[in-house]
Amino acid sequence: MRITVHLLGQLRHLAARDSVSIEVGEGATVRDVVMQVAAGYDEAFRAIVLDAQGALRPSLMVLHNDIPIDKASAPRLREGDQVTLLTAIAGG
Amino acid sequence: MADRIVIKLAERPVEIDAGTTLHQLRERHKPDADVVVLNGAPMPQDRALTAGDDVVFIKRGEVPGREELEALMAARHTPGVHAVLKRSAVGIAGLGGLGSAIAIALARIGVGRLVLADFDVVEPSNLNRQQYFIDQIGLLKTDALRANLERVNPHVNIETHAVRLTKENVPEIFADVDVMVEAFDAADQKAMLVESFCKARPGVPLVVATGLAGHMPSNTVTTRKVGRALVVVGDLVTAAAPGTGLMAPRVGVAAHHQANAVLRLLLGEDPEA
Repeated sequence: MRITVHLLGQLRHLAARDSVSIEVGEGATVRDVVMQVAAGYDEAFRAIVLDAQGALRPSLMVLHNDIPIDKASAPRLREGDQVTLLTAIAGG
Repeated sequence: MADRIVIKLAERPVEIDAGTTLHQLRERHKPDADVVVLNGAPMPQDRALTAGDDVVFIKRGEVPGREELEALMAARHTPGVHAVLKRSAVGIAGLGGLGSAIAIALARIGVGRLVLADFDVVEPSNLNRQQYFIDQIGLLKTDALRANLERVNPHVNIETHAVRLTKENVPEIFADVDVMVEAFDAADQKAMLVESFCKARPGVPLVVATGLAGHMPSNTVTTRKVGRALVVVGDLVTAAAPGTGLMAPRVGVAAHHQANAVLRLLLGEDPEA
């Protein structure tokens, strides 16, 4: 199924694009989507979204169809779904 | 019949006899006032009033009562806006450079209730951007900010929580706010707040800030809607780091973007448009 992934902030800058369309299998999770997107870019991109053990970084914010989700949850992805990735930046 | 004219006295229209002077008006309405402000400037001399004049009588050190402050705000903001703000509750997670400034801005405009949370104390290094004073170093930020807010507007209902916010306690602490503000320093905490609040209170607007360090141009800080209930303020890229420290001007720009987004959300307006 085809998923559109929107990239914001540093991710958009590193990918040099604001969205990417990917094909994922049935049962794919948000983590699978992030891994697949990250695989298409360099180490700088991967280092922002994944830690050394390959887990999603705590600072990564994910929206599924415009709604922020808990990364630990596994919402069922459907054809045409939109996933948005944004990394929180320290400072406040 | 003597001519009558209408002036404004403490923002309220008042009809008086033409030829009435400032000092005569003072005797009638506030004989113990020691400062007279006419059309925005102190006026020590007496003079006749003219239609449309704007007069304020002040007794130094006297704290305006709730009714008087509310009348001033209603006149300044319009009664409809004031009524909405007065019945609103806003949560602020983190009371540092962002949170302290946002709280003060919202207290100044009369938001009825603020729910404030931070575990931290005021440190000397905070003073370059956070809304605390040098004699508050060592105090809990919740206590210090409460004291400052009470000096700005004593009629705001302030609820404080001197705790470290977690996924577990965020839903309970901010259970009934109308709009939520993320004002943390740590990136992980920002994401934690988004996940936990949006899960517990789906559809309630959350205004976060990300990317506000250094002294890049002010216009690089923006407000944008991301998804249905998330508003993101900042440049989304500039992290606090050696060489790009957090500084009052740019942190203040971001904080007031957040405060204005909160105001627009409370009024049912698009925070981005």
